[in-house]
Amino acid sequence: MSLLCVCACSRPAADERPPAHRAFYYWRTTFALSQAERAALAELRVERLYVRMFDVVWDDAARGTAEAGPLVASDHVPAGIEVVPVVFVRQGIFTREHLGEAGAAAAARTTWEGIARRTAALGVTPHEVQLDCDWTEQTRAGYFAFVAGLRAAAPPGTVLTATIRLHQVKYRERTGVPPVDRGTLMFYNMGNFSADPDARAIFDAASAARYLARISTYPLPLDVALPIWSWTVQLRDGIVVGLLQSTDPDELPALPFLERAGPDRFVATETTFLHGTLLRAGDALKIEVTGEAEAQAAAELVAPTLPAATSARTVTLFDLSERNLAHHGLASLARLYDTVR
Amino acid sequence: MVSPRSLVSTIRFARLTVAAGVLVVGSIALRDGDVRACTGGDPTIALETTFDPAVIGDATWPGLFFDGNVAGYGDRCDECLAKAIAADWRGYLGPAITDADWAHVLYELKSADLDAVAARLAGKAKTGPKGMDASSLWSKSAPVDKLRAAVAFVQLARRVEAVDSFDAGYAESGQPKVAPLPAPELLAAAKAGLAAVPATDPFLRQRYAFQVMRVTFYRREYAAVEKMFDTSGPSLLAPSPDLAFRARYYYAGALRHEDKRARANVELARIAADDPALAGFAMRDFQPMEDVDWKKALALTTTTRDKTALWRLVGIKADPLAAAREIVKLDPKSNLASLLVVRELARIEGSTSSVGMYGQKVEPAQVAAAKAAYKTLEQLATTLAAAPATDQPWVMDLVVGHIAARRGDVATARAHIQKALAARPSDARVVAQGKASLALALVFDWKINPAHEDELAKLMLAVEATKTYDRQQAVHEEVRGRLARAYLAAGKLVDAEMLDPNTLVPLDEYSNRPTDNTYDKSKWTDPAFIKEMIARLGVTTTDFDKFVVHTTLTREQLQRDLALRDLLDGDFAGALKNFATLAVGAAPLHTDPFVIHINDCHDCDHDKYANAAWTPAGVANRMATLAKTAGGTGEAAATASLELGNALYNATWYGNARALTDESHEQTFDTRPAERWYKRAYDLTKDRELKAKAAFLAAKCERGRNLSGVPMPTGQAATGPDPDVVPHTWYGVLRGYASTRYYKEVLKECGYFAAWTASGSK
Repeated sequence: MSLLCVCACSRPAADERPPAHRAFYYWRTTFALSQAERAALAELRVERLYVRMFDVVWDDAARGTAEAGPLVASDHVPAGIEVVPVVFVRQGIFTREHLGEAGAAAAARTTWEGIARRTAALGVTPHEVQLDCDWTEQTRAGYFAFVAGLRAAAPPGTVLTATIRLHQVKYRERTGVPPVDRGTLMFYNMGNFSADPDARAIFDAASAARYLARISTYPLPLDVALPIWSWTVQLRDGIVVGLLQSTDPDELPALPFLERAGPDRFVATETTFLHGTLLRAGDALKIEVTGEAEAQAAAELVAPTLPAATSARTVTLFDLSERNLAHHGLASLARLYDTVR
Repeated sequence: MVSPRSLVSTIRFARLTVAAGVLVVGSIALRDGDVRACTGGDPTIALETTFDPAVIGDATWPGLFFDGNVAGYGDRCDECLAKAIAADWRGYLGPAITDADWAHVLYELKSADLDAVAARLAGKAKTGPKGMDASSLWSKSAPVDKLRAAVAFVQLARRVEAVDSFDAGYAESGQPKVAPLPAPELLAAAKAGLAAVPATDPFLRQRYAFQVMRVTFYRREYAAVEKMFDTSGPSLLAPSPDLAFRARYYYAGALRHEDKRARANVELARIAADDPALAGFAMRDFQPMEDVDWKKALALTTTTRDKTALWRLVGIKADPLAAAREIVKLDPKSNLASLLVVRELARIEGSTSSVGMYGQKVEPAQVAAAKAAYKTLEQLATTLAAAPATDQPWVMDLVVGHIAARRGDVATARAHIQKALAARPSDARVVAQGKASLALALVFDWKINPAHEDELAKLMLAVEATKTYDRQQAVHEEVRGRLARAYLAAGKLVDAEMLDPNTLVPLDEYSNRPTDNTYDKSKWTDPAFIKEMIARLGVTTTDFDKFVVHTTLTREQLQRDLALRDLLDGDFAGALKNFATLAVGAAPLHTDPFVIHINDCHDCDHDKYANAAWTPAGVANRMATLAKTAGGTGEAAATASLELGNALYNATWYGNARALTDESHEQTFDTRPAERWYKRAYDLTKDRELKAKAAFLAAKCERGRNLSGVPMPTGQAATGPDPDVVPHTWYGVLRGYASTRYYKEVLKECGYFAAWTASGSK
């Protein structure tokens, strides 16, 4: 009898909850999967791909919103994988000078049309749409009107989800809770870009700890997104001047115009180009790697704080690329998925 | 035959770029790399920086100036392209044909209309197309033979326009379509046209040769294009330099398609350096990728001009300072350095602009980096200003003066600015920039005294009178903003607020509202201060007075503030009196400020009561009446108190009628006045339902009070205390009315209260 009461009244133990749906973010502008990526999706039994369709930006000339960096579909989606279109909405469109609340619904209709067109090109019909926006207290009204507008424009029954940043969890009374069906907690981008050798912008356990307390009471069912990517930060005169996202940190030691200046740092010895970015002699390149240990630490930190879920939550890794797959290995990624339920 | 794309393309520029054969080349042949979009709508470079790069003169156009909102380079020069084409044809057809009439033929006539023009010129028809009766094409002095040949050429060009793109748009499915290859017949027609033009007509020979190259390019025969250019000789490269550059641009495109990136980059650099019409396109496409191709490009250049052109593009797209140094090393007399120096200045200034940061505080590391960058640039510009061979030395003096000004070094700024002004005394932009920089020097080293005030006022009045000066607003705001802070520090609050109306309460860039309860803690809650502001507007004795009151604040705005202050302070009769004199007092609010809900819904009430008759004056009048009743005793007084609480709650950020205080200095998060009236209602009434209601509404005020006390950092990395917003006091009171109907409604509708009760009411 007492056992029954414990089960009924408390949060189920983690291993009693259903395993998470496995997903990746796909953030490139051309949809084309490599053989390695296809194989990884199959082996990891990934169920969903959250595919960025385009950014919604403000177009001054047109006095309205526009699609930037739209996805070009040049490959088919592997069978059995659900595509969830994701749209990155720049919060700047919701300023009073731009859309405000009034224009948000109309912009949402246009956005839905873009999503429908792009998903059709991929040969899929979306059952879920995800919005990614770093809204704040000042832009919440416009953004929430946009969300409502998208719900009205999308076919009935379409599940609306939104990315939720940590500050939006912590300060929910100010930033509000978006009128969506589920949220995806972005458990990354939590530190500052900095020349400081110890500063980590992708995942920083100390920064993360400051937000954990209020996650469990967030009033939306929460999925979670975890980081698996690495990047190279370009520094000049002690500040960040660029982000070399397409530069693999592993390739830097072999480059003749770079000199190692520390365990995670190189200095350019001459002015030249690297993957289209100009390096000025003296510029420093700082590597920030999210390896197996960091990703696993993130998963273990967030997992116990997530509100109890009645249905399986989705764990999405950012992002799908051969480089990230190779850095982590499939066994490590599988463990990552299993850590969060 | 005209393609559907041409038929719908009615915008003149669209036709121009197609006819020029440039837009589509760049957009498909040379695109790669990053696709992050550059969007407008954000703060512009003209607002972020206080140095007008146009001081370097007409050697370039604004598209080449630095704009941090655009990746690496600016816009293209549409006008340059149009002018170059018009000039070519004017030279060929002579003065009898007006530019407008020929542009109509060149860009706007459809295929059938062109046929009609050709027929009339050939004497086969007596009339031309509709609307062209008065065209200079039919004038007696028109060069008919040349016109016939020119129209035949335009007819061919129209056919080429139909196929001059790799971009065929999107299919219904969303998939990009593949553009068909131009037919061999079209290439043959272009070649036949070229062969038919006599050697005595080099103008048309060059144009036909260009069309042959263009068709070949779109047939993806890149090796042929390369060979054509390498072996072309005068038929392709003369007499029109503009057309020669367009041919070179196709050549560069072919090289890129053949993966000859280094050679393509060298050609693009040549175009960007010497052809303003195509420079924007060339800059967009110029993209060294790796160390290997960059070094190869440097090795390919054999002349100093080519080398400096290559570095100039690097400077425009990536690093002005590094490039300017290289250019000056290669050629001390080069005219390419000025642009890079002013670009670097704009980059540094923009990097620490609070405008560009949406009003966010600039990080100390950014300030330190800017300081280091200013120092490096100042060293280069000082050296160049003193060197005898430097092109435009006054630009270097202005730059040095401006940098000195921004660190408050008035003496150095004055010396260099005077040197620049002496060199260009009648150049209005240079003079205005000099005065603007000197004004900045004074405010960066501000001392409150009449001499400083007088000099600054005179400088700023002169700057503001120079219409061609492009940084007026940025200088105006920076000077006034810094002065305002100086006067604030000196305790001169009225002048501070006049100089910069957001000094006492900075506004959020997105919402144009205070970021928190800052108005509630400011002098704007003091009616005496508002009255002083109104009085200051009337004082214009000195130049400095005139400068101070040249503000965005208006008397009507300030009088509205006063009326609202009275209202929020409980002087409803005073508010009514003030609102009665203002137009805004009679403007509808589109909401009902006396309506209250368990859960607030600002937008719902605005929808529901959009046509409500309430105006600010009407609200004040109603509150004055309610206050009389509320001053009494019993249920009527309790009900009136509750209604007053409703109106005062709704006037805050949390309620449904913040329109009342929108865009005023009285916007408020302060729920305490409403809470006092709710408490009075609670105390006066004997009705348990009303008590429950008053207690819950007071709890909402208590919650607002708690919320307003919590700082709200923004951004992903925001830190701060967890907001404890539970209104324990009034929730505790409400708990005593659990048997009321209203309590049950609250429990059902208010998740916060339900959670509080479920958690054991702690």
